[in-house]
Amino acid sequence: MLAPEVFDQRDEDGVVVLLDPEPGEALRATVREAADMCPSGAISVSAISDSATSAGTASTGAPSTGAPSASEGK
Amino acid sequence: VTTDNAVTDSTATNSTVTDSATLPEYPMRRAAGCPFDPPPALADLQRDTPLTRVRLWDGSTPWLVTRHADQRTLLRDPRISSDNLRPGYPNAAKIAADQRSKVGFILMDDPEHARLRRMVTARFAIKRVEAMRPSVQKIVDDLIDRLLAGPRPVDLVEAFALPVPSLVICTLLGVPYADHEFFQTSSSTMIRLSLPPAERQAAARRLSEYLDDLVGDKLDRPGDDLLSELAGHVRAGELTREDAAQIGVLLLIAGHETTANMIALGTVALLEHPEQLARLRDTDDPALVASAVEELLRYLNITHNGRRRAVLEDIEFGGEVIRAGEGIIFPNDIANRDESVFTDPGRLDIGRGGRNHVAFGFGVHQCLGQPLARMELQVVYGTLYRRIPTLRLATSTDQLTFKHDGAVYGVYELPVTW
Repeated sequence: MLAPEVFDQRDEDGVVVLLDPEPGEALRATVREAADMCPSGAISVSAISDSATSAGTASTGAPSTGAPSASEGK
Repeated sequence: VTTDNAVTDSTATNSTVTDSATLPEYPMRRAAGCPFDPPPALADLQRDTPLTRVRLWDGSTPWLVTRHADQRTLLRDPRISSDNLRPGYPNAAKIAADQRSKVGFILMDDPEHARLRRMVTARFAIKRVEAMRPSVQKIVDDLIDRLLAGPRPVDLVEAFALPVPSLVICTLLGVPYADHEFFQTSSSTMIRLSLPPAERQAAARRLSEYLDDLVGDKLDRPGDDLLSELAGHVRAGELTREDAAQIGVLLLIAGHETTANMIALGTVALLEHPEQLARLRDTDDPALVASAVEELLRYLNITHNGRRRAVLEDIEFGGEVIRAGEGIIFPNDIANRDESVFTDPGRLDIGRGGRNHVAFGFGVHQCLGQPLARMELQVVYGTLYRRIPTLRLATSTDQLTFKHDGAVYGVYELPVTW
């Protein structure tokens, strides 16, 4: 898993869950890489506009609409 | 809508007839003496154009996407379908007219694909797979003990590359390993594209019946394995027994053919690159072993006939319109040699390390078993060459029979000694 501080997998079905919706600056590159690698495009990352030092907000799509699952290589 | 489709169809057919003879045939041939490299004609296409039409065995002329970034963009696009019975789907070989077979969920679209896939994802989650690492290490150590005690030369495919992933997937699924000769032979027949379709279909039928019997057993006597979980879904009315058996077929084949070929072909590649083999053999760093796994996945591309999709709605792409009802092929082998993404892409460098290759595909169908494949390969590559440091071919590379006709690429046999 690319960013275990930010993402985990649900035990029952391996669907990726978001642990930290606002990861800090130190994780910026890793979280961006996770979004880039996400095979279903369910991760989006956006900068928090009024803070130049924040890595931004990560979010995953609702599990029912194709959030990445166990196998999908975070 | 019907009229529009008819117009589109006839237009496509006309242009196809005009151009078809001059279009490059796909798949293409690898160059003699370059068993690890994609076909040179495919590399030429990638250099010249991001998108082109190619001609298949049946005369159809689907699109082919040559570049890494474009493949990833389109493979995530919901306007493409994996359903091989849809018009335009670029099948790799003739499929039977009566074929209902949706081997597991790989040839299905969401939401049904996601519903079925999610029944099995838990067992392939990263933490579950990591918990299996010690037992995989033991399997690998025991097989190497047996190799070292046995005769030389030996066929590494038969004695090591096939048994490792077969033992692992049998335990995970709840398939008796004692039946390995049956399922290994049936599965290799199924995916050998040069065999007559009837022979391949008969093998597929035998495997389906075998898995159906096993699902029946698990309905009566469930154990702690994936087939028993599927049987549970059957009992709960969430899954047909036929679908349970087909998912079993898919996981059994995908669980051993792919990793077995990575083990054998990876060994050939490393023996051909002794300086890379020495780095891998001499390291204590699990990160370098993991990096070597990613690099060999990128470099070898054992699935070498491209990901294939049918187009559901017109897609504008690079100045062209890919029409609904047409096919698209995404050859991962050439994407993984895209020099705009990988510096000096033809060089094997086990320290390269990136995981941005598309060896496992991309999009919602990306390989379910990739955490398991990675873990098994890390154990194998991190153990085999340390335990047998003088491992070498008992023949020459140009004498090996490569699986040019396989849905999964590799070597049929690998005579080694030490």
